[in-house]
Amino acid sequence: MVNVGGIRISYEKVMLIGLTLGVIIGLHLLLQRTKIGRAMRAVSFNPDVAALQAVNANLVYLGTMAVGCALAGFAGGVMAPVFAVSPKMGGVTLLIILVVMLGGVGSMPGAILSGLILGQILSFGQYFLESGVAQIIFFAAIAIILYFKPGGLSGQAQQISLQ
Amino acid sequence: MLEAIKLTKYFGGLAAVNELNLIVNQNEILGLIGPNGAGKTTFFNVVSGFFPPTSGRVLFEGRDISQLEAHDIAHRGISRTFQASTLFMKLSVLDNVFTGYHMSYRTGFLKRVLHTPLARKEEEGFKQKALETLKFMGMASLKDELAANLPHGYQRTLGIAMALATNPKLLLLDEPATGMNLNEKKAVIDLIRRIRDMGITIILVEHDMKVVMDLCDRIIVLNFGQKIAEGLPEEIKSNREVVEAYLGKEESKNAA
Amino acid sequence: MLSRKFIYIILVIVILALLPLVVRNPYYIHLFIMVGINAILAMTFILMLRTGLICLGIAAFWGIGAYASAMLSMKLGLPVWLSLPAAAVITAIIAAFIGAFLVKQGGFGFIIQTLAFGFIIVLIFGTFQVFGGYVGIVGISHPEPIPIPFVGSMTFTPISKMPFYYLMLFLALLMVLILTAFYSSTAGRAWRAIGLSAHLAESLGMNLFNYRLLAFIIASTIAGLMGSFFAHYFGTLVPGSFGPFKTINVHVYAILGGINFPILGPVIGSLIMTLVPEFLRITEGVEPIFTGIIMILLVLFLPDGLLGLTRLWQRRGKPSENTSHHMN
Repeated sequence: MVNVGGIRISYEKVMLIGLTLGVIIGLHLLLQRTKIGRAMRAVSFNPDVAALQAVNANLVYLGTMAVGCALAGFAGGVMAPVFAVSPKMGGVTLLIILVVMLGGVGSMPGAILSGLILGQILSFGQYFLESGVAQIIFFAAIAIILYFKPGGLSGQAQQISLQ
Repeated sequence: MLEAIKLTKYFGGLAAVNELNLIVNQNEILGLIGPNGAGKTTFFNVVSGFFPPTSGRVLFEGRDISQLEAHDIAHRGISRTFQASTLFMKLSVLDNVFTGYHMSYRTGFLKRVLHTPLARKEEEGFKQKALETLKFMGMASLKDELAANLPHGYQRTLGIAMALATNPKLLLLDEPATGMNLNEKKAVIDLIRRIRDMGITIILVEHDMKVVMDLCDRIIVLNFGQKIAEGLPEEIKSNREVVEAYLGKEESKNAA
Repeated sequence: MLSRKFIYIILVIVILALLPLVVRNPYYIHLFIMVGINAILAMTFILMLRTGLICLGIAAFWGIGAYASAMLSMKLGLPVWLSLPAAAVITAIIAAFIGAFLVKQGGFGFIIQTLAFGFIIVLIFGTFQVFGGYVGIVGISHPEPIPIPFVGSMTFTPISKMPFYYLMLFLALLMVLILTAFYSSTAGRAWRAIGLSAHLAESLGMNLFNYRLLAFIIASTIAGLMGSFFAHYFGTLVPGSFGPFKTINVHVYAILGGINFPILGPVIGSLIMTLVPEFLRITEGVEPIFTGIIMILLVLFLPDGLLGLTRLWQRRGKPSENTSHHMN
């Protein structure tokens, strides 16, 4: 256990926070500083123009999917010692969609911010209020914020066509 | 009939339409020309209610329509065609025009849902009218054809037919002659004239100068969202600023 | 004098009516009842889909209707035959208010908001003890017996499912009738137009928000009515069964049948997805695998659904129609 200003945090949780920060920084570097990252961003803006720059959109999609799944796996692995593991863990997927929407699609800082804020709302809510009520407020907050800011917290809303 | 007062529309930091003042007179054919990006389609979009203006006003028959939504503006009597052939692709030609009569129903909503004989009669009536509109356009033989299967020229005229079905007072035609060959263009010119003869006012955006010169009573030239010239076709033809706008600044650069 | 279509429909109704007399096993009758419920739910999905709304809250309204009817009959002591329509009315009112908020968002925002709404509803049912908490409500009263002339009375006991089947059939046919009436009216045409090209429909004077809201309210109310039937049939309500996962299952039923077939598609899709797992002896825990595989196969190979195949087969016969016409 580590003692941080009166709050006791287990080593596992410290590792979790540390590793997560590392991965976030790594992801940021990947997207901003490497050729692959540039290719990913190019394809997300305009696949056709990216193709003109000799970027194979399909490969990028594949690669992005791989990175995404790896991140999810990392999250699961790092959460395992701290939280329980169950077959239904993946059910949180729909919830994650909401979190990302709140942050603004296509914005990584938005997703991080939204994840942090929502996590706090949930934790504090469940501490001060009854667990269920906290969750209701949690979802209601998402719905209301998205109503007034459809682009999410970061204000960015990448055009997703429903064709 | 239609008046734009200091109409401005910003997209982000770019003014697509910038303090535009415009008047359209009743039953005239007004041509709106200008190089690409001059703001012509944006003007249409604002007038027809698809975008709210950033500032300024649009008056139709004396009343302010600036903040109205697209469907309300359609009810006021302004109809439009779209630059890209926007049609109900999966419906037949007849169904496309028939849908245009949507606003004209008089029987109450409940009666229409319950299919009372009165409602059915009105429906039949509109189907007939749709057929007549197609005949007026010379497209009656295509009535059962899928809109998606039509050759480009007919798709454009189908768009006009649909706009006509709404019984408009003002018709905004967005590049009706694009992609047409000479014969088709002649037919479209004739069609637009006949529409005007029905008492409808027309604003025409078009790139083909021959069509514009032939049809329009008056021409307004836009560039960078502002009016740079206005007048009769012959005047516009010889206006130096207009030529510059189209041919680019090279002329003036070389001169300077 | 009678059109062929009409005769087919009568035939189908007769077959459906005689079904429980042939299939005696109450478990199978239960399955068919569920097929009916799922089919109607899938129809509501398609109704909203046509206008450009992908709703993730169908199960939520199904639940609202179920809980409303259960509460009305148990806490307020209303006779079931009164609480059924009352629950539908309550669902309609809720749908109208929530719908105004949801539909305003436009296509994409709507999906997200209905997803959030779907979660919220489950949480509300689970958190507040008045709804029975996560354990749910048990022992919901069955409909009171109705007298049938010449035969006596029809009692709704949980043992023989037959009366429930007929009630479900009656409700289902009623819903199909209502849906068909709307589809073939100007509202239906407007929905179709909005779904095909919202901009164009708007320029022709159609108020997108109004029509979409109408579709939403009708769809949600129908879902709620089926929910209230479900409450009094099943007798037990567990909040977890009314979440977005159930809604996604409903989507699969509709897509499997073919989203271009607003009535027939859901029936076929729901029939297959409800009955096939039974025949393959797929247990409840493994069923999501089956559903998941179907979803993947649909997206990859059959986006138009099974009935969409018939369209393909029809089109093959027609000669190519891209001859160039000249005007005049």
